[in-house]
Amino acid sequence: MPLPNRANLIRHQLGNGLKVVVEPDPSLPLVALNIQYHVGSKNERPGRTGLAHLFEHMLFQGSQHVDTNGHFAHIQAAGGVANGNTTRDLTTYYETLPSQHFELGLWLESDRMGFLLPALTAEKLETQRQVVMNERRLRVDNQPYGVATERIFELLYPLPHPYHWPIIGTLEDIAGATLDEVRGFFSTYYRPANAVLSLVGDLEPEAALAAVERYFGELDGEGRSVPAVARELPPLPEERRQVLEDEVALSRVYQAYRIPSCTSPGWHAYDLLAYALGIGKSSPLYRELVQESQLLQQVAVYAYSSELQGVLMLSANLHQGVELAAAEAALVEQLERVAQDGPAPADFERARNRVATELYLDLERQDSRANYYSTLTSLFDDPGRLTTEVDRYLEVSLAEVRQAAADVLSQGCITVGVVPRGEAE
Amino acid sequence: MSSPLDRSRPPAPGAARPARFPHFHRHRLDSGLEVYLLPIRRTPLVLLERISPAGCQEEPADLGGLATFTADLLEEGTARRSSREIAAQVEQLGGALGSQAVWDNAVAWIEGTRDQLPTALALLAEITASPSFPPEEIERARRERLAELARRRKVPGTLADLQLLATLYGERGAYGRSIYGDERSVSAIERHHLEEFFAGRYVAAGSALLAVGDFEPERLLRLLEEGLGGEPSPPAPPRHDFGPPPQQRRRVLVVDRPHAAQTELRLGRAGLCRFDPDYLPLRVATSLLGGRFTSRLNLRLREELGLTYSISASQAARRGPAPFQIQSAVASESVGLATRETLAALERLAAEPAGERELAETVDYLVGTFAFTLQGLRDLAQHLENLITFDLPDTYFDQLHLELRAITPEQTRQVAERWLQPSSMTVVAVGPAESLAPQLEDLGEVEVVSGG
Repeated sequence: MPLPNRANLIRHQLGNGLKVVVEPDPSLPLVALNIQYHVGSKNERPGRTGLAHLFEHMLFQGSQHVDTNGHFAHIQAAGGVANGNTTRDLTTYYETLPSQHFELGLWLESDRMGFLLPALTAEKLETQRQVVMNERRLRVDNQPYGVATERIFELLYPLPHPYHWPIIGTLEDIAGATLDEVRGFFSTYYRPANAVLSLVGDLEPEAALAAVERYFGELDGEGRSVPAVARELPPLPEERRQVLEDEVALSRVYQAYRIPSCTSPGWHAYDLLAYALGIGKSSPLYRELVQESQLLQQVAVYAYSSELQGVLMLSANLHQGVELAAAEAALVEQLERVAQDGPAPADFERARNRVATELYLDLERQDSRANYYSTLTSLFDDPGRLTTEVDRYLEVSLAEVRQAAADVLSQGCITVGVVPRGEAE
Repeated sequence: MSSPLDRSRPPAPGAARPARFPHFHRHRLDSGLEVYLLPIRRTPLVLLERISPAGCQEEPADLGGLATFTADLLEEGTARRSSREIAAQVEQLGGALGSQAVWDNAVAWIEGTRDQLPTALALLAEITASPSFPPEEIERARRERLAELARRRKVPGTLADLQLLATLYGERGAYGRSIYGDERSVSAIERHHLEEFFAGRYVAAGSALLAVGDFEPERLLRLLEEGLGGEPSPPAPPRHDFGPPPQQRRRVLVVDRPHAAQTELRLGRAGLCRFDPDYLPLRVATSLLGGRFTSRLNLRLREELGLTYSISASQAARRGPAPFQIQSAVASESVGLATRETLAALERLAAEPAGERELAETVDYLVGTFAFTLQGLRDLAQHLENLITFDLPDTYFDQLHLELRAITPEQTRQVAERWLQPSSMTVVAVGPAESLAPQLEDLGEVEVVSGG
């Protein structure tokens, strides 16, 4: 099995609590750095949604020793690439640099972990607030079907569950965030002990760890412990189906089911269920609903892996003239068939093989491996899990996939339909 | 005890280790098919691609979408196998296949694990040699395509791109029509059009097969000679003649979407072909203008003014006079300001040579990020596709950094003056016309079209 070798992986923890993972890989003269903070939109509160993501933007606005746009300027002039992303659970910053510039990454990341506050100004916050509002309009408000997934999470996770609100936040909340709140967010969550640094690439492990110690070792490890989030799962609401009107040509239907957390041992069966049902043109959803009955123009199934709770999401574009109810019933019927008889052996086999191939495709890239190590450390404190990830899929039996389908059906789903303006039932 | 860390300046870099494009082998089979083999063992995967001179530029202008439709149908049945059998055969073992056309050429590909290689190769040969174009699959694909066209017209960014290109090149011209065609042209495609386009364009001469990943080159070459060697094929068909590039004059168009939450803004013109000696200097000038986060446009419009989430500039690389375009999404009330700022940046690029340091940083970025694009099999295949599509020498990637470093500040000004004159840029804004038209009227007569 040519997955990364566990013996090649070095783990370390600094005195201030920062966890470090190093994987040497000299195949290209690059080093991928990935630093992940265990904070996401789930750590916000209603009324201040979008703070984690807005904060991600502020981390690219310079720190005590780095100019306002210095982060990108240094990295791009060195021939590197960089970015960040925020999920419900985690915030990740990453850069891939030509290996001779590897320490530049450590300098930049340690400066914004240890010395951000002196550079945080109201003016910078105001500019990024405008940028994020434009980002929200671009991704959500001015996008066909853009608000549908927000509606699904609202219905699937009623308050006080912290997956209720959108990661990017509402325009109103983004407008309301104050500089003090942004500072408070930093002090609470952006501490060495709440972070993982993963390094993959053309580096010598001992020298790399010594450099990490030099840049990060002196950062203050003190601070409050991270506040707990509400994990309790409220029951599904009475109203489980909504139809929205939007500027669209084709109606679309989403069906969303709660599934276990990606940290639960049962998770892999649900991911395989998604692959068995709808990944590939030989999958039953595509074959029967797109190719044969031609109810649907497109169909997709995806198992969201998240920390508190996952989501199995089915979505489909309907051909003109097809009723939402017909498409909904057809999707449920497919899931019922798996719940009854299990996936067809060929679909089960295809799902197992495809999961493995996609993992290999991911692992070609150093940045993607670094991201796996950070996430597996944040969630399991075990980056080496990557080396056995395929085995966890192969251990799932056909009966367990059948049971996963039966479980989601028994608890019911949230349905959101989107139809062209003037066509709501 | 080591000295305390000086955080006031960035650390000095270590010794550079240049990135090399991996070694690849080239062969020509008796049939005329060019073969590129790039063995690399990072994962147990192999990607196979067949590239044919069957791109959208070769389709008749009144049958827009024929090339992409033909490519789609390759997967939907052959003399020996149904659509379903083809998909199942590849997917059962974890692989995937696809087939698509773009302006320059058409690519059919299969990726899978190395154990799948003989089967994958045979199947790729089959779908690119004997597609059967089953009538029921044609009708199903047409229905899906028509629905897709309707869906795309409601995506504001797509609508802006389509309007800009149709304005620059004419609605039916090469690069002006959508590669997916429109309702009229897609409805007009008949089975014999597909068969004729296929027969004329998917021939061995002028086509290439490439393999990237974990395989033995000698063994694969034997398989190729057995499976695809064959009789010499007819000569490669002639490529589309683009003729002189269209006249560039500014037009200002507003596509009216009265309730849009934001405006999609485009500025653009018909630019140069990939073969033009100005291509690399223009690529550098474009990168400096809007090709990365620290570009002039992004720093000004996003980081100083907060007008947009992102703004970018790009010159497409194609065999013909491909579009240059700047794209952004901005709050509707700021469109006039965003447009003026963008035109001012273009003005400055054509008036002043780039700063020495700014140019050096831009070139360092382009040279440095090359290694980043050598990681995945698909990335490597894309580089080989570029060599094939643009008739570049096998040593191209070894020379590229030298050519980039030779570009001077004055050259960036000259190419901007030739290709990026603000007065030659057409402006397209998709959003509420009532607010947009007054903001843009000082740029020229504003033409308002309905956003549907």
